[in-house]
Parts: sequence; structure tokens; C-alpha cells
Amino acid sequence: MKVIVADDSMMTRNIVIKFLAPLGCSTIQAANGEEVIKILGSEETLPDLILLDWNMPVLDGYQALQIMGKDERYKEIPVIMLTSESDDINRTRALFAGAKGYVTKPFTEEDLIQAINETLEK
Amino acid sequence: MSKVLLNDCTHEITEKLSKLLGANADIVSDPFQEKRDISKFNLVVLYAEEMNRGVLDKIKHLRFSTKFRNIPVVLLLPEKPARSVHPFLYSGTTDTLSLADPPEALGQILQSYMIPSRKPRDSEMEYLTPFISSTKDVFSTMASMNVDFKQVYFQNEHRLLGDISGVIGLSGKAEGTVVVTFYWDLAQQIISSIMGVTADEIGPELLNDGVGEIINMISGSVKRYLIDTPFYFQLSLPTVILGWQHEICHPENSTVAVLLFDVEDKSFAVQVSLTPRKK
Repeated sequence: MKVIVADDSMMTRNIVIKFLAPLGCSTIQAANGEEVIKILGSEETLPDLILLDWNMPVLDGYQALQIMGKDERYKEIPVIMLTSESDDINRTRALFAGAKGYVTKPFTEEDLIQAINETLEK
Repeated sequence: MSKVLLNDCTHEITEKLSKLLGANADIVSDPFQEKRDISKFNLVVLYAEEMNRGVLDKIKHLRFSTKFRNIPVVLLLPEKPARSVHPFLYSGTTDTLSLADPPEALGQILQSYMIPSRKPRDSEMEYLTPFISSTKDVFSTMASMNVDFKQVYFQNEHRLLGDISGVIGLSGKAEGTVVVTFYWDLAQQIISSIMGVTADEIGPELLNDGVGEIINMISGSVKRYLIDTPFYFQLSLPTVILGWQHEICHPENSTVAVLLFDVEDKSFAVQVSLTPRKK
């Protein structure tokens, strides 16, 4: 399974990659939304999943989600928001914009794996 | 009773200060000690014959030993200082006074430093309580660390100096700033615990990044509790400040609550300044 891990925090990216390792995932790292869009345009095969932080510089996760949602090539890629934005307003906004899952920080390995399993089953 | 620590005061000066501080002061007078837990005192007075490098170092040690508690550290000199006291201020003194000051004024100023910080109002606890629970949650979930909330006080004359701070601006319905401040060793311990590596493997880049993410998580996870209140806010991107014994200054007249947490024998502070926007 190919997963894009997008977060401006190197620490969080490293933790996520560590949590994903037992699943045998290959991961690509991005530090902002613009990098995610660039990676999508440059990869030969699309990822199976994108884990997307909300608050990032340059292009935030929500903006990236909106761009992907409007693009026929990318709109079917499952996206899980992995964010410190904990309130229901933003959760609803993200799900409405096309996110398939929503995990709030702080998170455990179990939280993340459960969200991935639920999202991929959808 | 207020516990007052007098350091490096002669018997004569101790006698004089005892009279000036009044009956409410429970005084301990002894030589300065580098490794001493002074977190139970309400006021520390360091006497120095002259302003030199050694005194600066003592001030730094004393400020460090307060463990972010609201403990004024006063430098007492025999005469009015002939040169700038700024280096001492930057090192952590709350005030510099002299025995040449009129005794009545000296006594009143010292007694004013013994007045405890006011208790938070219910309306303030409405937004502070979520910060307390979110901070504990972030550390227990991410670092498997038990964090004890110790106290809240309001910053006025207090000097809160740390080695690494994560700062995040809040805007929207309510505006303000949230700051988490650590000393190096605890920051390293926390980030290494989150990352599952040894403290030696945590370089400055990861420390910066990690502290920024911690303040982001603390502030972000508070939002769910404040959604229907006047304190609801939007997050900015975090900024991290590195530097030995730096101080974060807040806008004049802003109310800054300092939430103090202990991790075993170490401490860190979360400063919260949050005000509903005027309509």
C-alpha cells in the first residue's frame, strides 16, 4: 500500500511512518499541501491513501483536499485528515470536502490503524 | 505566612529585613546554594556587595530553581546601582533594590512581592480547564508521560524564563497566544519519549519541530471544548523560540495565565492569553 504522509511536523511524519511500518506500507513524505499536489502529479501510480494534516504552511491540508476533490484524477483517493483541529465544525467541513476519515491529534497507533481500516473498508 | 529565603545576607542585614518584612514572613537566611529546591518559597532575596558576573550566575541559578513558579527574585545591593541593572533583569531578577532606599519604601516593596497571585475567576477557568486537560492528554497519549497539573497563577511582575518555547497565535472569535516553555533537559526527554529514541538522538531540529507540534496539539485539542463559547479561536502556525533563559513577552495589559505542570521532578509552563474579541 502506498501512502502519502503530509504534515509540516517532521516528528509527526516520523511517528506516522513508524506506526505504518507493520502494515508494510511504502510512504512518501510531504511537508505541505502543495507538495502533496506535486507528488500526485509526478508519481506514476496514485497512492492508496493520503494522511493529511490541516494546518500547514504554503497550502494547508483543507485547501489541498478541496483541490483534489475538484480533480477527476485525484478525487477518489481516500484521504484521512490527521489534525489538531478537534472541533466538529472542521471535522464536518473536511468530510464535506471529501475526506473519508478524521483523526485528531494527539493520537495513538490504535487510533490511526483503526481509522485507516475503517476508511479503506468504505 | 509567606516563606522568604534570604541568600548571602549578613546577620545584620537579616535582622533589618526581618523587621521590614514583618510578622507574616517565615524567614530562612543562609548562603547561596547552587543546587537547592526553592520552589516552596514565596520570595527570594539575594544580597550582593557588588554587581558582577558571579552575582549574575547566582540570579540565573535562582531563577532556574524556581521551576517556573511565581517566586519573585530580588537582588539587594548596599547602595543604589551605579550602572544599568538590565543584565540582572535579563538573568531573571524581578527587581533590584538597595539598602540605601528609605527603609519604609524598601519594606513596602518587599512586602508587595509576598502578596500571592490572585485566584482565577470562574469565567477564566472556563477556558483554562480545557488547556489543563488537553496538555495532560497530549503528554499521556503521545509520550506516555504522566503530567501533574500543579497550579495556575497570573503573570504580572513574574519573570518566566525558559530554554525552548513553542508559541501559537489564536485569532477569530477570541484572540490571544498560547506558549509552552521548557528547559532543555525536559524538552529533550519528552520529544525522545514521543519518538521512541534516546535523548541523545534528539538534535535541535527535531526539538524545534517537536515543541512546535506539542503547542499545536495542545491548542488544537482545546478547540472542541470551546466551540460554543466566546473563547472559540482559529489556530495559526506555531513558532519555536530557542535560547537559554529567554523570556516571552505579552502585550501590555493582557491577562496571562500561567499553568504549571510537573513531570516527576521537572516542570514546564503553559502560558495562556485568550480574550473574546470586542464586537
